[in-house]
Amino acid sequence: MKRSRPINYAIIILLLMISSCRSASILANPKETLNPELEMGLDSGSAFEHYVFKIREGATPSGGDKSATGCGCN
Amino acid sequence: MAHFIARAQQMANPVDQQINRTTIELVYNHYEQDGDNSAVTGGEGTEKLSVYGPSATINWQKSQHSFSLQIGADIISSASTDNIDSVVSSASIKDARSYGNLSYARQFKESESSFYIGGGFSIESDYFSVAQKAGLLFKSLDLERTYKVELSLYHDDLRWGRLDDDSFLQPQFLIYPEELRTQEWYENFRRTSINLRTAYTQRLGNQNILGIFPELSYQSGLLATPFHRVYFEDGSVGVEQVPDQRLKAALGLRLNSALSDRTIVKHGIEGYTDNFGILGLALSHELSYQLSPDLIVGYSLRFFTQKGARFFRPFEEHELESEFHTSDYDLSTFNTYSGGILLKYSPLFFIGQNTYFDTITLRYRYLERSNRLSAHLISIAFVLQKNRVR
Repeated sequence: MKRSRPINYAIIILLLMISSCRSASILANPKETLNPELEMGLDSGSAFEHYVFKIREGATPSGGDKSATGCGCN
Repeated sequence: MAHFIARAQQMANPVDQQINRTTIELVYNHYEQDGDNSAVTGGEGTEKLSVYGPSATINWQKSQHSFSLQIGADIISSASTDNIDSVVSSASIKDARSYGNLSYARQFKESESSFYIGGGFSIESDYFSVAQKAGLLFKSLDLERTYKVELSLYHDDLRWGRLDDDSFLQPQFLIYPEELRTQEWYENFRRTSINLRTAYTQRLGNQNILGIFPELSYQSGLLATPFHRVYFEDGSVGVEQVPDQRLKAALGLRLNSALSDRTIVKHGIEGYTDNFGILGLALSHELSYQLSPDLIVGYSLRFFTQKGARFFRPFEEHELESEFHTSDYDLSTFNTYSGGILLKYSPLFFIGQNTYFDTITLRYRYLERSNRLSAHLISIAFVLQKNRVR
C-alpha cells in the first residue's frame, strides 16, 4: 500500500482548522457564562496524551519536558 | 431537576455562592507500544512496552482556598530495558514509577485572580525527582483575558537502587549496560530542570478563545540515559553521550471555538527548538459534539514532524571520535500521525446527600511514527463531587 506523504496529512489538519474557525466578530458578553468545554485546560486524558508526547518526541511542546517527573527511558 | 441544580452549582462562582467543594478523580491510563529501534540496544531491537497507570486526585475547595493532592503509579513492563543485562526476563523487565503532588491555590479577594504553589516527587528504580512550582494567574475584570506565569524546578537523581530489596531508598550507582560496567562513564548523576511557562488567553466573542503559550526550559547535569548503548562504525560499543546543558524554547497557539451550542472544535499549532538541533512542529485538531445533555462524543487528529538532534546516528553509524552520540530514536528525524476518539458521560448521579457522580471520560488514541514505532493510549477517568452550600 502506498504510504501517504506527511504534507498531505498536515494539509488536511490545516484545512480542518481553517474551515471550522468561527467568526470572531460577535461582541463578547462577559456576563454570559462560557461553555466549560471551551476552556483551555487539559482533562486528565489529554494530560496523559501530552505526557506520552513529551516522552516519545525529542521536541517537547508547551506543557512540560521529558526529564521531569520520571525518566521516560523505556 | 437535581441534574440542573448540581450543574448550576458546578458552574457558579464558588466565592459568590460560598460552596465548599470536594472533587475526587480516579484515573486509569494504559499504554501499549511496539517498535524496533530501542536505544538500550543501540537503535536496533524491540521497543515493546506496556504501562499500567492508576492515579487518584482529591481537590478541596473552601472559600478562596483550595488544596489538591495527587498520588499515582505507573507499572512498567519493558522488553527493551530487559536488555540492559543478558539475563532475559530479569528484574529489569518490570519497574514501577510512583509519584505524588501537593498544591495549594488562593484566590485574591474581590478578584478571579489567584496564585498557587506546589511540590511533588517521582521515584522509580533508576530515578528520583523532586519538583517545586509556583505560579500566578491574573484575570481581567471583564474576564476577557487571562495571564499566567509559572516557574517550576526539578531536581533529579539518576542513580539506581532505591526500589531494590537490599538497598531500599539508598541509591547505589548509575546503571550501565552489563558489558560496560568496567568504568564510570559520567562524572555527574544529577539533573536540574528549570521551566518558565507563560500563557495568555483572550476571548473572541462568546464562541472563541485564543491561547498563546510561550515556554522556556533549561536543563543541566546528566542529560543522557546511562543504559542507552551506542555502536560505532567499527562495531565497538559505548554509552550515550549528550551535552550537559540544554536550552529549549516552545511556542504554542490554540484556538477553541464553539461552532454551535453542541459542537466545539479545538486547534493547536506548536513549534519547538533547542540547542541539540531539534526542530519540531505539531498540528492538532479536536472536535466534540454533544449528543444529549449527558453525552459528548468526539475525535482528535494530530500531526507532528521533527528534525532530529545533530548527534543522532543509527546503529553502527557513529564515528569513534565524535564527542556526542545517541541512537535514541526519540531524538531522530521522524513524523508522527495520530488519531483518537473521546466519550464523555455526565450522569450527575447522586450517591448521597450533596455527593454525585459527575463525569466519566474515556479517551483512546493510536499513534504511528514514520520509523515504525506504534502505540495505543487509553485513558478512563471517573469524577465524583461533593458540594456543600454555606
